[in-house]
Amino acid sequence: MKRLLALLICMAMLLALACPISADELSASFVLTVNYVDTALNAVAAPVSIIFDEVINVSNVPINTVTGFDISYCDEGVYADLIEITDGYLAVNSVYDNVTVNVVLVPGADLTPVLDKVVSVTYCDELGNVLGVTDTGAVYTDGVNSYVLAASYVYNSVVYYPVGGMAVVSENVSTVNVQPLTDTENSEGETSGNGAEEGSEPPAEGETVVTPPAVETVITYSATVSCKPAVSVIANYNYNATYLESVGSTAVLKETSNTQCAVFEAKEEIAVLNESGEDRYALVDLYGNATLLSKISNFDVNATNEVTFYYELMPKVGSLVITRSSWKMDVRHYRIECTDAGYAAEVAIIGSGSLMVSDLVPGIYTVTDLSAYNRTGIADVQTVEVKAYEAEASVSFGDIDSALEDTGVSTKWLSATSNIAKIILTPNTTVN
Amino acid sequence: MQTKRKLKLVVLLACAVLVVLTGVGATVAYIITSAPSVTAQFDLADVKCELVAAAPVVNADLNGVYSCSYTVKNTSNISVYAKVTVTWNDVSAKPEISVGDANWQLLESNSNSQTYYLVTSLAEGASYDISFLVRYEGEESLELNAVAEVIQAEPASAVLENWGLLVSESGTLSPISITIE
Repeated sequence: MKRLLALLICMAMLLALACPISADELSASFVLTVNYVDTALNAVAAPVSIIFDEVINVSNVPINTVTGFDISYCDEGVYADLIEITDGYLAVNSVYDNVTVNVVLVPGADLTPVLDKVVSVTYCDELGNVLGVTDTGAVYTDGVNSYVLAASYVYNSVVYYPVGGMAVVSENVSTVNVQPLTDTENSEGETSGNGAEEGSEPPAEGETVVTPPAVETVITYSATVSCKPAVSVIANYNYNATYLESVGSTAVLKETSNTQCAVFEAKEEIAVLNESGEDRYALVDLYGNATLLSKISNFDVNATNEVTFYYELMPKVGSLVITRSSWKMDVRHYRIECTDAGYAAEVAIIGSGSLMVSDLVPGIYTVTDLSAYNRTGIADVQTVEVKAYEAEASVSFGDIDSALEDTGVSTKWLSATSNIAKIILTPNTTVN
Repeated sequence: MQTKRKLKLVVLLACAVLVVLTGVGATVAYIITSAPSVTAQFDLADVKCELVAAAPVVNADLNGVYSCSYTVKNTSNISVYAKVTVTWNDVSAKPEISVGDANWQLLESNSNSQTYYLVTSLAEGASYDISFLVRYEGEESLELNAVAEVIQAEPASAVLENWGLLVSESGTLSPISITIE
């Protein structure tokens, strides 16, 4: 009986040892949560377990390299300036108790770039509608399959991110499904509404007020105007319910009745639209997409004569190329802004690479390295002018935080300075 | 009777082994199934140091030569590399500092300061003295102020990026040498 009891006690002890120990039960004061995400920051299952060796002294936590991919830190979130992954180490210079790290899985050393092959990438939305085609898809291979890492794609001023980040190359063409990252509503900062709203006065009695259908990035106006051919710069609309409607980013003049003509500036010339709707559309297509920049609406709605509205329509025919040179394979976010055009968007570049943002209204654009700012508090801002119908403007970025580290300003590694210790040499010091 | 008892013991042992294996298997299954969501806990590294000065001693045989000593103590909870910078307020004093210990190597020198680095790392809680002779023949008192700096010893890129020093496989520091042919 005693033997049996001893045996049972031994079994209980062995079972206790075999039971899994929760991480929470480990003695520590610091919690690191790791989220696996793709380049679109979507949560993905970890291809392998991430193993922190010994998990002591968080400043030197080795990070596993996943076969076929490199784990790269995504500098998103409030702790961006506290975390750095370099040479396979995770350094957390933090007094915070909890830190969350997004680990981005990007092609790594086990995927070999196919140097002589670049395929076109077709971007489709979630419904399979083709948004556009770019030729920036570098091809990688793991010896069995070929892959293309898709960059983000800008369509109608909305930045789309690839779902899953990669696509298998098929017949030199790869299709990547994308989804918008930013809110599409008023993405260019444009205002919308009808004339009554803009003019702060109610419409005149008997006047027909047309409320155009709600569409994406709507620019609408309603008024009654009479034709005034080929004047000045801008646009001149006359009586009987004319309004501008934007379909996508294309501004289209529409009318409900009796509009005889309109003046429409696109490109650098003034184009006169006739009564034909087809011609009108053709003209818009010819001169590219147009965006409403401003309008003057301080008019007398009770006027019996001609009322003129001035629209400044500029073509969206400029392009901007952002280039990042870096030895790192992390994700950098850049903010593109043009105050005059009411334009703001964010794009991301992984490692070294270039990204073209097209369909831009000409103007002075600033591009800010948001990642560097989040990490160092120092803004790396480039300013560039985007012109219509000219070669694309370009800006180039390095990694300003790395540059700072090179000059001794480092937030990466733990270091400390002691107290000042004094020794005073006095000429009449005697031998102790 | 004896055979029956042995059989009973064997059965009991077999049961025990089965239960233990079940426990281990369940543990492995638990770890595998919960692998994608990782929460790791660990202590933060804390890097700091202290520097203590010893009273200078006048060398009885050599006029104007003082024996001085500082002690660097690693009060971090990890290993660190250390360097000590000694400065003096009077640029014209020109004290001649001579460090005899080969573990301290001169890193930088200018008109009013000298910096030495310790070629070996300092373990957690360890101390190391930097003793040196100073020849100073001025008539006014000279104040030597020293500050120690420490940096995490692992990984090697930390000391390379911050101090420009290489770490050998044995863990000793050395300056980056450039060979011009």
